[in-house]
This record gives sequence, structure tokens and C-alpha cells, in this order.
Amino acid sequence: MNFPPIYSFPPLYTRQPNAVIRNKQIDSWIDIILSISKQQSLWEIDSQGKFIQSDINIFDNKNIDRIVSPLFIKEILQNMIKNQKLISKDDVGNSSSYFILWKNLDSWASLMLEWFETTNKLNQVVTIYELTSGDESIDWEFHSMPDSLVSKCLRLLVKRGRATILKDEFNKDIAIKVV
Amino acid sequence: MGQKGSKIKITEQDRAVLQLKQSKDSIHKYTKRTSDLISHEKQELKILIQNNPQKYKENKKTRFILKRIHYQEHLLDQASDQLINLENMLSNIEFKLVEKQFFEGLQNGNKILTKLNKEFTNVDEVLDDVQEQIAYQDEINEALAQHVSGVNDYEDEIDKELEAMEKELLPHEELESNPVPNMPSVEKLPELNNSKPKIEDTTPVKKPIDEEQQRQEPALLA
Amino acid sequence: MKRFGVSAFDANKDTYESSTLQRQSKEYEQQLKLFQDKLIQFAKEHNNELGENHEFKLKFMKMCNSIGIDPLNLFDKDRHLFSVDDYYYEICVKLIQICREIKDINGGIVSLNELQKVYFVGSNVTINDIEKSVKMLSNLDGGFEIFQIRDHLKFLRSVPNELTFDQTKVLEVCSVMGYASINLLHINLNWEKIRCKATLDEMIANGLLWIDNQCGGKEILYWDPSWITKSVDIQT
Repeated sequence: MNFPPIYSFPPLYTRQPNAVIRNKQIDSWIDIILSISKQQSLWEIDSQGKFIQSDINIFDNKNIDRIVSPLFIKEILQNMIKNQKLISKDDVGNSSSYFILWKNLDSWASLMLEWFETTNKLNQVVTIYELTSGDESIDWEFHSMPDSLVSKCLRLLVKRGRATILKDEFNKDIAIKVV
Repeated sequence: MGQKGSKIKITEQDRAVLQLKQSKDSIHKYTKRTSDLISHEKQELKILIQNNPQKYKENKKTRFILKRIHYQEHLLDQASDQLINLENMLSNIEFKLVEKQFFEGLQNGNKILTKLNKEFTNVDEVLDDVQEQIAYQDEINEALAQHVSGVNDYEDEIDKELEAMEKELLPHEELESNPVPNMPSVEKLPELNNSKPKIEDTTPVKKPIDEEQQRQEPALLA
Repeated sequence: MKRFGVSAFDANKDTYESSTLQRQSKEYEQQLKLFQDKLIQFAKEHNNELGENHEFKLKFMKMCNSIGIDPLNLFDKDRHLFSVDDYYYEICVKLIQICREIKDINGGIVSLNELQKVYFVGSNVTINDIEKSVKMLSNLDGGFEIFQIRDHLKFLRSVPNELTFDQTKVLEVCSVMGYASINLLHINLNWEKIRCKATLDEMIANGLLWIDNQCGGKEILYWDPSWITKSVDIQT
């Protein structure tokens, strides 16, 4: 994992009283979180700031023996939500964990469209599993993206008039046809 | 191409392909899991051997794990074969769909062609008429060519007469103006060339009709 | 990652493709580097012509800029390339850019050492050059000023509010360990605790220090943000 130099600066873990400095501090944290998620393909974070399906605890730096307080973590996450770097996992918006968007949904949708075009998958049904876990997307950034986040991106393609989503008997998105 | 507004139709074939792909996905999942399992067990085996380098061959557990690895590998092979089968089938379906489109295109083209051919019912009459018109045109051309050549003769005669007069009037200049007699012959050449193409003209007019006839014959057969 | 089925055959193809691409981009990079070097060489050889013809100079610099040559590399101050002032003007522009960028992190105080090692990395700008440029900047009344602590550490202040004597003393303490604290100041400078706290609080308010309250349950530490790039110093 590649951390910026500021990650080893002890005061980064204490909420700064000066508002200008604090904004800079929070921005630094957001940069760190996004860059680590991107490096490690981490998609979800809970409201305590723990990555889901990963042991990495970004707010606990054992090397310099500093941790970020739960309250300050909340503040950082709230800022990320405000900047649309985090979105709620369900559509209602009160879930306890979030998707991390180091790219915004629109860019993800465009990237997927690019995949459909370059791998010659237009005009045919493609399962979501094929899109995110199949062998043909291994080198693409959205490989291993969770299904419901994929759904959000694919819905944008439907909106653009480029796709139709196929659902299973439980009304869950399972496949897509892009033209 | 194929963009019918915001709604994209899902056909029966699409549903069938979806089912195939779903089974493909589950086999894919299985192969992934199995290969993970195998590498995990191999690791376990290595540890067992390292821990007991002397008597690992007698250890029942070692033998058991190795057997299980073999079995899993066998399953993995089978699954891979199945996966390839499914993938082949999918590409076959895809190709058949393309073929279907090709066939439909062919059918449509044929329909239009027969419809167009029906519009040529009185083609013989038209052709006869055209040939008549061409013959008439030839006659006219000939007549005109004759008339023109007649005029030319007349002009030649006049020229000759004038030359004769000239000889009479200016006999002493004959020696000096030796190149003059050559002149008329040079003048005559282009005149001959002018009349020739008019005869040739008739042949290229006929040719396209022959071609048209030839083209229509296979079309009618189809 | 392992691939199964037909696409297993694609695995090799991909590596070929990417290695070709890598090689190509490496070649392009080398070519660009060579071109840049040649341009710099040209600038140094034809310095006089460049200096005399103002329009030529302007266009030349514009071109260098568009293919990624740092104008600072075009100058060689020892041989008075262009006019020597141009060199320092370029540094001035850079200084202003850098200070604006990092002002929110360090409150506008940055050590010349850090400037040279972190922000002017790769160019042959020395601390003396920076100092000269800052002197030129002072004509602009922009509040740029150099001050010294512990007799040898020079800092650049890019915000108008001047440091008090006490604040400078705190920075001196920070330059040793990276941080200061009430007790540390009390012991080392023999200040009243009230005076220590007031000074530190004021520096926090000005954004000059960051606080850290996790030092093994002991007192609060006040960190100098120039310490952030200290790890970079070690690497270089």
C-alpha cells in the first residue's frame, strides 16, 4: 500500500481545532481513503470507517501509534458523503455502510460501456457476473465491483438509452443488454 | 444502428442465451473455488511433509489429502471442459443469429428483386420499339451524312475550279508555291475522319441494350 | 489471476499487448527526454541571441513550456544565461505558486530547506537562489519574508502577519523534534506556563501548528507541519 507522507504525521489523527487546517486535514483523509480503496479494490466501508471484506484499518496507524477517534471518523465520512465520494448502499439512504466511489457513477458507467465496446459484447445479453467476475474483465478497474453498485452504474446506461436490464424472479438485476 | 429509442427489446433468444450464460457463470464460479481449494490443500500437504520429513509416506492424512487433490483436479478438468462446451455453444448461437440475419437479408433482397422484375412485363415491346427507333435514327444519320458529304464534294469541286483558274491566271508562281498542292490533301483528312465516327455511332448505342437484356435474364431466373 | 475456458488462451495475448505498449511508451519517453535535453543545450549555446531578441525568447520559452521543460532548467546562472534576473523571476513565480498551494497546511511558514528539497526537487535551484528571489519579491510588498531560527535554519513566511518573538522561539523548539509542548517550552525556555499556552494557542489559530493529543496520554503536542515532508527528505 502506498501512503502519502502526511499519513505518518501524528497530528493527522487528532481533529484540528483551526477550521482552515481541519478542512485540509479532512481533504487529506479523503485522498488517503480513496487512493487505498483504489489500490486494493475496496468497494465498501461501514459507518465506523472499517473496510468491508478487508482487514485494513486505515484509521489505526500502528507504526506511529495513532488512531482517529470515532467521532472524527464520522465527520470525515460525512464529508465524503457530501462530496459524493461515498453513497449509501441501499436506495433509501439510511444503511450503515457505504460504497466508496473513487470514480463517480457516471465515469464507471462510461468505463463499462467501453468494455462492452472493446470486448465486442454489444447486442447480446451479458450477465452481471460476467461483467465483474468473468475472465474478460480481469484487467478492468471495475472487476470485483459488488452487484448492487454495478446495478447503479448500469441504470445510468439505461437512462442514456443504451441498455436494458434483465431481472430474475426476485426482481434482482442479473444481466444487461447493451446496444 | 439498432437503436430503437430507449427501449431495447429482449427476444426469446436473449432469454435462452441468458440461461446458458448463467450456467456458464456457475461453472466458472465452481472452477475458481476448486482451484483455490486445490492450491490451499497443496499448501497443507507441503506443511505436512515439512513437519515430518521421514515418515510422511506412511501418514494416512498425507495420502488422503493427495488423493483428494487428484480428485479435485479431475473435477476441475471436467468443469473446464464443460465450460469450453458452453462457450462453444454460446459462440455457435451467436453465429447462428448472424446467419439468421444474413438469411433474412437474402430473403428480403429476393422479394424486392422479384417485385422489381414484375415491373418489366412489357420489356419485349419496349425493346422492339427501341430497336425500331435506333434503326430510324441510323437512317437519319446516314441521310444526313450523305447530304453533308455531298456538300463537301461540291466544295471540293469549287476548290478545284478555283485552283484551275488560279493556274491559268498565275502560271509563273507555280514553281515557287510548290507546297500549295499539298494543302488540299491535308484538308481532306479531317473531313474523312468526321464522317467515319457517324457510322460507328450506331454500334455503341446498340451495346447497352444487349447488356440490359443479359442482366435481366438471371434476374428473372432468380 | 487464473482464467478458465476459452479465454484462458487470451492470457498470453494480453501480456504481449501490454509489454508492447510499455516498450513503446518507454521509447517515446526517451525520445522526449532527448529532445528536451537538446533544447536546453540549444538554449545555453545560443543564449546571447535569445537574450537580444525578445520575441524569439518569448516564443522559445513558450515552446519549451508546452513540451514540459521547466523554465528553470533553461538557465545556467553561473554563465549568466539570458539575463540573470530572468532566472530569479522564474523562481519567484514558482515560489508564489508553491506557497499558495501549501498555505492551508502550514499557515504560510515553510523552511527553505523543505522548499529546496521537496518543491524544487530535480532543478538545480539552491537555497541561496531562493533567498535572492525572495528579496526581489519583497519589492512587491506581498509579505514574503525570510527569517532565521537557531541561527542557521531559514524559514520563508508568505503571509502578512509577522511572527512574534515568542512564536519564532516555538518554531525553534519544533525544528529539533518536530513538535513543541507546554512543558517543553517551560523547561527549555524558562517561560511561564501561561505564556507557553498563549503562544501555542495563537499559533494554532494562525494555522502554524497542528495539535496531537495521542502522545501516550501525556500532554498535547504541537507539531510543525514542515515535519510532514521529513520522510520525503529521508528518501531523497
